[in-house]
Amino acid sequence: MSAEHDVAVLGVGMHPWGKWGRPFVEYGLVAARAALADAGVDWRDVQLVVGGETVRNGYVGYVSGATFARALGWTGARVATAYAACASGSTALDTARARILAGLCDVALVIGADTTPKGFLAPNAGDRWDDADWLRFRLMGATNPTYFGLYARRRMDLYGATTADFAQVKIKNSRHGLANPNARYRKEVTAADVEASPVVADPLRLLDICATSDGAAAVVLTSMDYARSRGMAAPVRVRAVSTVSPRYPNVVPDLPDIATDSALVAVPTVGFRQSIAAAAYEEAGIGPEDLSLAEVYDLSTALELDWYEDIGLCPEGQAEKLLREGDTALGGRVPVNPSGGLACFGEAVPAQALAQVCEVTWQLRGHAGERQIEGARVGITANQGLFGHGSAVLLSA
Amino acid sequence: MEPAPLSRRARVWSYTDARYQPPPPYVPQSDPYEPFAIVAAELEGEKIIVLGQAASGVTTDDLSVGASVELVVEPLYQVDGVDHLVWRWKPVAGAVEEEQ
Repeated sequence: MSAEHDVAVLGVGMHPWGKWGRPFVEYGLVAARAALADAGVDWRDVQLVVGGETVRNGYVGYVSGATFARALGWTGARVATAYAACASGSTALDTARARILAGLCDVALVIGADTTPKGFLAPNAGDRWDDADWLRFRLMGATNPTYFGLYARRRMDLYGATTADFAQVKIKNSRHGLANPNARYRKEVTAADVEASPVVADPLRLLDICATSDGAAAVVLTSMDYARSRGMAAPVRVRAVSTVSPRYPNVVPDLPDIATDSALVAVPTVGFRQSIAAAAYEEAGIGPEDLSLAEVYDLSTALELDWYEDIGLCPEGQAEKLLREGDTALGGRVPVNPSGGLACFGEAVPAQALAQVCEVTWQLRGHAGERQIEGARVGITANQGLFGHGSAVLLSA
Repeated sequence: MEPAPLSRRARVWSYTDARYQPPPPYVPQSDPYEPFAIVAAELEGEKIIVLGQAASGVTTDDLSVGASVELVVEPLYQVDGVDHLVWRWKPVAGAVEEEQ
């Protein structure tokens, strides 16, 4: 697609990640105001507010777009709320983008914020025998780390990955996050630290698995014309947003499913996770060889390695080599998770995909401080969530 | 739709375990909690991967990718003294050597 499908990222802002148990709206407001200030846009000029939904904070979370708009002060702006599990932030962003590209508005504010409970993410209360997410807990005790453990073991068996490789991902990301004021964990982690942490879901240890966090991120998205009218000749641009779903048959166990489709039917050559970034590349006419950096969803250390392959940084089975050669560390060929990733943030579901966009934007502007990647021109975000959701956002300077 | 019986035999696609007690709606089976293994196994005939707990007493040490398992039915929890049953995966003794 051509430049006429670009929209401008005029402002980004975050509330730091942590665990305070405060209302999610408070975090969202801090991020929203930071993004508006960064954009130099007055709240009263925002024509559309899109919220990423949080499902753990009652009705105000289900209608978070309206909740944030009310908290900022009713102005009559349009509101929408998007839920797509871990891809919620990107879906919210895409809603704003589509309305801008349709010529229906010029200035949109996208906000995601969450307050998470301690421990495993679990279904809301109540018996629901027709809800796959409820059933996997009831019938198998299968938590999210269960699936991460299955993928990690599979990598070890197929490609010879080791638990030392997994630990190396954590070590790398912990170094990246040291200089990130928004990261929850800013402490260098050693191989001995990982080894000393208890196994949660064999072969993964506690330090291989991301925490659940409170946090918020916001993005001010505008038309290119509006950005120019504000004197921004070359803003960071959103080039593509992918929110594709799996193709039948989906033969890899995905959260929260108990069973896959049958592989007796002709299987697509591109699996679901690969198809997420591929759709973004195709939409933008940009390839993985153009990337300066990537922010990927390291729900587990092993999963970050899967993403290297799924976003096209290397062929299948080569991720460990890429990691061991330092290609994905700051200073390497294509740094992955320069923000520190989920390893340093923990996951705040509706905010996380937007936090990825914030980091890529700072990198592309040259505003990432000590973790800056020199001359960064193109960056991608990638994530996958429950129920066939996934997303990738491709941005360029 | 017609009901169709599926293969009871499958091959381990991957496996893991649950070292910490899962939250509700999981119903704990013992107090104190005892970890259990979870298997993703591909049905031999249908090539469908089905997740399930490993049979009682089976740990990750007893499992390997590609090994044969068979479906067994075991109690998952009790309500008012009545067993509620669930499918589980059990390694087939000696099958790894025979079939590889």
